[in-house]
Amino acid sequence: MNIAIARKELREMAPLIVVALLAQLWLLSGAMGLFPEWIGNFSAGNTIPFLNPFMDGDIVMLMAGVGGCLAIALGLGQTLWELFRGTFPFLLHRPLPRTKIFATKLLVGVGLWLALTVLPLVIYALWAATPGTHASPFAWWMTESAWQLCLEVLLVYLAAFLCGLRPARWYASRFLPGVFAGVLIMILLILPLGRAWSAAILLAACAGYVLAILHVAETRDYS
Amino acid sequence: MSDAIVIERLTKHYGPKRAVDTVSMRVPAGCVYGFLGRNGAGKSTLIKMLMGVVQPDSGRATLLGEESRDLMPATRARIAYLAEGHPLYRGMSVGEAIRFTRSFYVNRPFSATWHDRFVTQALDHFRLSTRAKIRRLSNGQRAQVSLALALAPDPDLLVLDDPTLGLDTVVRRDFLESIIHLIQRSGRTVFFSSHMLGDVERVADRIGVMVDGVLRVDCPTDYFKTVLRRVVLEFVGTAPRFPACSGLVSQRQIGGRLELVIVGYGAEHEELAESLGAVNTEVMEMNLEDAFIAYTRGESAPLPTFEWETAR
Repeated sequence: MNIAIARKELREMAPLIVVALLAQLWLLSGAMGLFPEWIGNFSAGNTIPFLNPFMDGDIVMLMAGVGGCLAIALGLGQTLWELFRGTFPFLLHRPLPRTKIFATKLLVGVGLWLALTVLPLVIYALWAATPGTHASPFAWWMTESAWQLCLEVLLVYLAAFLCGLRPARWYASRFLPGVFAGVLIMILLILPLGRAWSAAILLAACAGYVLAILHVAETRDYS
Repeated sequence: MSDAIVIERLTKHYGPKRAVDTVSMRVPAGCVYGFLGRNGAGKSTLIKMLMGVVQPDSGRATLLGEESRDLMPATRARIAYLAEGHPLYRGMSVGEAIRFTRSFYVNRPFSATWHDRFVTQALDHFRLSTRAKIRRLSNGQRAQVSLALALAPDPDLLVLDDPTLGLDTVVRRDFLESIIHLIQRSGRTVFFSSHMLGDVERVADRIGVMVDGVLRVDCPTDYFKTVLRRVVLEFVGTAPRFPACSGLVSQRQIGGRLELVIVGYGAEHEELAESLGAVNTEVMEMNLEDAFIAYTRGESAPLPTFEWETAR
């Protein structure tokens, strides 16, 4: 990982990071009942944390949604922004292997995914697991679908990165990696696979996307 | 003398268009090479292939003895590349851009140098503040920052893709003189593309001319100027076409005049001119700009003679 590139990436994506951080903090604080009801108290009703993340307005779904939006903006921003400004020739001429340059970009993205999607859910789960914080049952197995959502957000980030990096002549074909990721997520929702299988498939897909990104980064034209 | 750049049958297609067509050339170490061509001739594509920014369809290039596709970081650190338009991160200040670039050369596992003092001197010379935001700089100032960043690692090879593009005449002249002043180190090779014939004539030891993706000229600059001749033949009545022969670059008919551009004008050409019945033959030297235009314009339709009538 190259620190200078990582710093540059964080700096360029700072507006996105700030917006996502504020949104997650607002959701998290609301879910933990830190706000008065009129500001946004998501635990005001009788919701049971992590019971069903796919219910309308569920906090886990909202937090994953914020993570998903950040993932798309981040993936496209880290690639298209460089392409549109024409800065890739400058960056890629630095005396550093190209794989390392792109691996640094991806590590920054993964770090932000951990910080802004996984961490808020971990904090929420820890809060939910702490006795006396809310009047509803909690067991750790209830959080499994939330972690699957996290993996799906990671897949969305990698797909968005590949969409931005991959040379494409028109916008429909540019978004093919995103469409593929979306279809895979839908299939995993529909098929009655166990959590372990779903996680394994998602991780395998993420690994496939990383390999595709590094391959495209190495072979594409930056003109 | 070893070659800093060796290009062997480099080819690139964009769709059906052949942007670079089996180009082979060598640039000796220590040479200042001016790379000329009209817009779309393939200069930038060839430079991008040299720098590994664009992948060739076939052929290969070596820079400082290493395959351009797989340049090791240590070799890349010895090569400066100024991409077309001087791309820099516009959100950074000049100082931040310097620190960002410097971090790739200082304390690295391979041997690389970075001259802080040179950067300071260059910024003083260009009257640039380290606090100035890149996005607020003019094109000329961005070019100057790019140049300072490119030269700070004391590269052995400089590759400049149209470095004066978009600069006004005064800034262009200043920038070019800065380049000449700053690059004067023995053994340093400079390969630069340009549209500006005057710039090339002042600086380049050797030139290459690309026409429609093909390298048509690759020779010392002085040789190019001395070997090309403009020959004007005058005829009674309409001038005939000059027959195809070796060395004929272009011909233009203007009424009774036939203007030819010929490489190595000699006895063979004189005989052909006489056989056509030319009443007068004038042989002239050409400057680089005229020679370049003759080479790159291609075959043009005969110019019409304009007859002026006074309306009464």
